[in-house]
Amino acid sequence: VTVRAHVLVVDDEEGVRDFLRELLDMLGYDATCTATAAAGLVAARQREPDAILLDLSMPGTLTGADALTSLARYAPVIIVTASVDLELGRRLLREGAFDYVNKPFDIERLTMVLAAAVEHGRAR
Amino acid sequence: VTAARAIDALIVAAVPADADWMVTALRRAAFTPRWRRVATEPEFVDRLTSDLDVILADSRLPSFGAGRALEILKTRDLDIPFIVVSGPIDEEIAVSYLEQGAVECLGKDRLGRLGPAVARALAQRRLREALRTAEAALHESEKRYRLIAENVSDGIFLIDAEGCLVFGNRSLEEIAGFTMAESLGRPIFSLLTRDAAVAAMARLARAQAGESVPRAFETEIVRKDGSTVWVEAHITSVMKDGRMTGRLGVVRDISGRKRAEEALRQSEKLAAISSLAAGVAHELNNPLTIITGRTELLHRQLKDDPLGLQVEKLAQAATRCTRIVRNFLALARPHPPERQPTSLNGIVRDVLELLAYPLRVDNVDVTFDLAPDLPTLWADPHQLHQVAVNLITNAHQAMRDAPLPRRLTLASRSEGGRGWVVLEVADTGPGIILSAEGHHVETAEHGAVALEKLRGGHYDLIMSDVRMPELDGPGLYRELQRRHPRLCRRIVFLTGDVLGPCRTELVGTTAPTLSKPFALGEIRRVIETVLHPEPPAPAREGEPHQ
Repeated sequence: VTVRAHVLVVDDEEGVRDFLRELLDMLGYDATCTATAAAGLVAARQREPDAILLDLSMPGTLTGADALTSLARYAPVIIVTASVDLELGRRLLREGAFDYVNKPFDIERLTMVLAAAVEHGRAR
Repeated sequence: VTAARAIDALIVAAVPADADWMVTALRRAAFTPRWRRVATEPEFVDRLTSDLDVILADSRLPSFGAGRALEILKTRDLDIPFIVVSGPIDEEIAVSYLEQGAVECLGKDRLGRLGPAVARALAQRRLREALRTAEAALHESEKRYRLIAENVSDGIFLIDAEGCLVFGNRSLEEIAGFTMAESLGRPIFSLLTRDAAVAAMARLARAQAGESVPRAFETEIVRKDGSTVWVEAHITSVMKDGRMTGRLGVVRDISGRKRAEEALRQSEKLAAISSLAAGVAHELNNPLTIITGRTELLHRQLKDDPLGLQVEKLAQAATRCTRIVRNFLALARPHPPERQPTSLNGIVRDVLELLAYPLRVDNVDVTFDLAPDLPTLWADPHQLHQVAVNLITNAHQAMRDAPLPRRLTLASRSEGGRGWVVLEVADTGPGIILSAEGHHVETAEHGAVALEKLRGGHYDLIMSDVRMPELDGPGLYRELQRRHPRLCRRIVFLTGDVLGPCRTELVGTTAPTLSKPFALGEIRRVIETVLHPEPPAPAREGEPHQ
């Protein structure tokens, strides 16, 4: 029996979290979902993920961009955002994000990027 | 009287005794004369200088007398009072001396009157001098004001109490495009746009009534060529005896500033709208993520279920929403203006990729006719991108309600001679709609072509764009007024400026306008109003139906 890979979802939109939880389950992943970047950091420490889906604009003192470097120490981080700020996207990729996916996303594309991130995380 | 009465006198007399008599008479009248006697013409000419105060001449000299002396004086540009002192002479001769310019003709026996005569002559001369000085000063100041008036870049004008132009300087001619010969005597209001004229008349009426009116205001002049120019005017009343006799105005061309302000307002408005819309679009992305994601999952699960078809439709709609939001965000994102080597054809293809879906949904066929050898442009690709999106979107919307086929043609070409690259966006728009409604339609690419066509045929209705090359909408309207006044009531303007001022107002027409994009119903309604402006008269019996 293969161990299901663990994906951490950090997104403040409940509907998006619910959808991602169901999608990830269908795709064969274990999912942990948090609504803030701070909670995401706590969750990552408790159970190390194989990949992280990180939203950028979130309420609270810590934005997704702020938490990127810390979260990236645990697993490859895929930015999943409604923002179309390409400059910010480029900057985050330079700062260590694994990939960048715009909302609303194509399920095929997210599936591929996620698989690549998990593989990358396990290899390192 | 103790006024300084030192005078320089030249005395023309044959014998010293005659001169002595005269000097004595002057002294008696409290003058202190410095004097010299001359007896011959050369002596007289020699002594005739501008510092003389008076010339006293004996009328009876053997060789040289008062008459000749007066003649010589007249040839000089000198204002020296000339008094003839004579023995008993004909009144006629005395009169002739006066006619020649002598100020007085005295008998030797009445030398007691010499002093007062000289005093009078000197007083008159002082008065003449004062007048000359005043005239010269006036002339100088007039010259100075004329110099100022003709050389300032501001237009300066004077109107009378009725508001008619009395004076205008060269700059006013330049600003208004009229020469003074054409506009003097015309009411100043006839140089203004209708709104501006109404405001100006009201202002003049208030000024005439003695009310205080704002001295500075902005107004709009109609130039001779029909174009308009915004000016800032400063006007003050010219008062005489407590009554307003006219108004003095200074106008400055501020159309450049107006254009800049308008552009700024527009761009601020657009920036505000796009940032607001971008925020909304951005917010839409989260719920759209849920909608598209869940419909896609549902669709996968219901593949062989009849409900799957419905879910597929949902998915399509959700995908379309996603595209719209994404296209919109791509447009709304502000880019700092930046020129770079840009391929026009590349931009057209990019834009079409962006808009392909909505065009396909509305069954619009797109035909490309892009010249392969187009030179690379040094331009801002984002702005060109926006221009292309706007053109194609306008064309698309114009065709939305049109019957099939709906064709969009995108053609680019290089006009090397003029250094231009041209992009043409053509649609089968309202022309097709009207054809489908059973009308016979002909098209013209601008006003000049339209005029050609009007000359050769009968038309019931003209639909005209406002902005066109060669001859624009207002220009076409003016030509219609001149050549086909009947058609002035049969024109409908199509305008794309939803945010900007409507240019048709400038030509003072009440012609209806259709804002692009327009719906079929709207076109029908406007055509109906134009072709049948009166409420239908009750049908009379016995009249044949058309």
